[in-house]
Amino acid sequence: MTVEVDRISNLPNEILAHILSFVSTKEAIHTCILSKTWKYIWTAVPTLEFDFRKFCHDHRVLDGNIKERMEQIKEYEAKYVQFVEGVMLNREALLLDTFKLNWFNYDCHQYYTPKSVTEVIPRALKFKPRVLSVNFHLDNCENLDIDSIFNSDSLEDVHLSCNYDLKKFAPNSINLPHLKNLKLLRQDIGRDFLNKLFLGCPVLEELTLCNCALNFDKIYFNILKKLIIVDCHRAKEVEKLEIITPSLLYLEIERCYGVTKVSASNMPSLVDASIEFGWYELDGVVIGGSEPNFLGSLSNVTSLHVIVECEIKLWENASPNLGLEEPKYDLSPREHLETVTILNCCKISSETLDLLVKNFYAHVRTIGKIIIDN
Amino acid sequence: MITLTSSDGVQFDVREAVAKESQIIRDMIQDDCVITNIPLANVNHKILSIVLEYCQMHVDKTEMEVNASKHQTTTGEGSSSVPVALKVSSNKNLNDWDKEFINVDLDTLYDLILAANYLNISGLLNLTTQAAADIIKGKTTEEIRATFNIKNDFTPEEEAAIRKENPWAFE
Repeated sequence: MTVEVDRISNLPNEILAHILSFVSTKEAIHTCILSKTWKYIWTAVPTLEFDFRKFCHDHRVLDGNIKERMEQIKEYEAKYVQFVEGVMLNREALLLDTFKLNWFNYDCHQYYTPKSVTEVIPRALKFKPRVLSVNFHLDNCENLDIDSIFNSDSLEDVHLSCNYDLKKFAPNSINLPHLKNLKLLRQDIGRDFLNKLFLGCPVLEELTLCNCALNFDKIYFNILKKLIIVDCHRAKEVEKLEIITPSLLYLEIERCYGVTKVSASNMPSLVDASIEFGWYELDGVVIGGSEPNFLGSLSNVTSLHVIVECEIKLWENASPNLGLEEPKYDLSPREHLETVTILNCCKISSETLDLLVKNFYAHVRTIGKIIIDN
Repeated sequence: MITLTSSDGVQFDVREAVAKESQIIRDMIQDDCVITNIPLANVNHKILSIVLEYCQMHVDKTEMEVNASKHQTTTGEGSSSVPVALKVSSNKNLNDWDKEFINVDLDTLYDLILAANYLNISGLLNLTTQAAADIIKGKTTEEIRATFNIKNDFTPEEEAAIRKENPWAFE
């Protein structure tokens, strides 16, 4: 595939930089010795992505016993820190679109992200990135300058995966005027933090909590469109979860251990929901997840995915109808529900399934179809 | 209908929605709604026809999805699982179509990159620059030079100096 003239080098520099945003940062840098035209193109690449885990993998660091591994990791850490430093120091372009930094080794939990790496974040934020994605494993929350992340006027999309305690060490203030999408993974989330988040993010549309400890009993966002809470667990002292998100279009609550008594205010725009009924308690006792009138708040949902992780014993308890009784408050009835998909049926007995289906037919007037999916 | 005229004088009549895939044309139409003929000084007819094929396909697919979901809300009962499946499969089809579409020679690829940049069609610009990046990926410096016919205008001393200046990048 050769051509006679070098046309690629004649493309505008910003297009060349755009092309290099699709290759690894290392490959992008190596283009500097192609020719004089290419010498500085990499310093303006709009996307920077550093992945220490991948670096370790590529150098086959992760073989051998833990002690050997740790020694090797430390050795490669020094090299890769130098690499990151080099790229940051040589950067020519004033602006950056995307900054990704993954310094978390799933294979080696004893290894913590060094401070020299967490300190790169505030420096990267000076380039005003639109997207920030961070994956750290900290031995001390104070090593991360959390205020710099939560006070950035350029960020639109933040993915923060880190064993950080946002309850104890919440940012002093939050000001993210353009943030649309926030994903928090592996964190302790407190009420104070959520309040600040609500006040400091005027255009937040999408919030995802994954693998987090939920230290709050209320989640209030009047403009949020998408809420996803998966693989989370509840802190002991929190008894209920109240969801007040009137603009929501999509709701997903799955695999949340210990999260019970979920209630919600009316969500007239919500059309697509995926809710798990019957969650495992830590001690093995099974109880239903939602308050009786929870489905009443899903008044306009047309498509509902019901995930059944285990036998539901709600009928033996006070609430006989699996949260499907008529709403207590003045909520519009479930006029629009068209499809209910019941997933994971193999985990429950056919009697329970029958009862579940009957309940939906009995209480939802407009239901068209129940899909049972094993 | 809008008439687009290529740099070599060939006229293409397209639907407004198709032309509006280009941000620059979208802005023009918005500023002046009676505009019906737009000359494009930087794109020849060969490249313009390929660009329009891309725009047409993407507009058609989007419209199909909208129609499908409308159809679903009016027919109501028991059909709402269909659009989801349809959407997934049509996205997959569109990706496959894109992949096939971008399988062009390097000269055409450069022209498409320039046209997508000039007309400001972000989907096409990403698709074409990604295709160029895929050619670079996994190649040594020598292989990249050979593929793109890039002439190494560094002296061996200069090249060694760059490597020496940035040891962290080349270890």
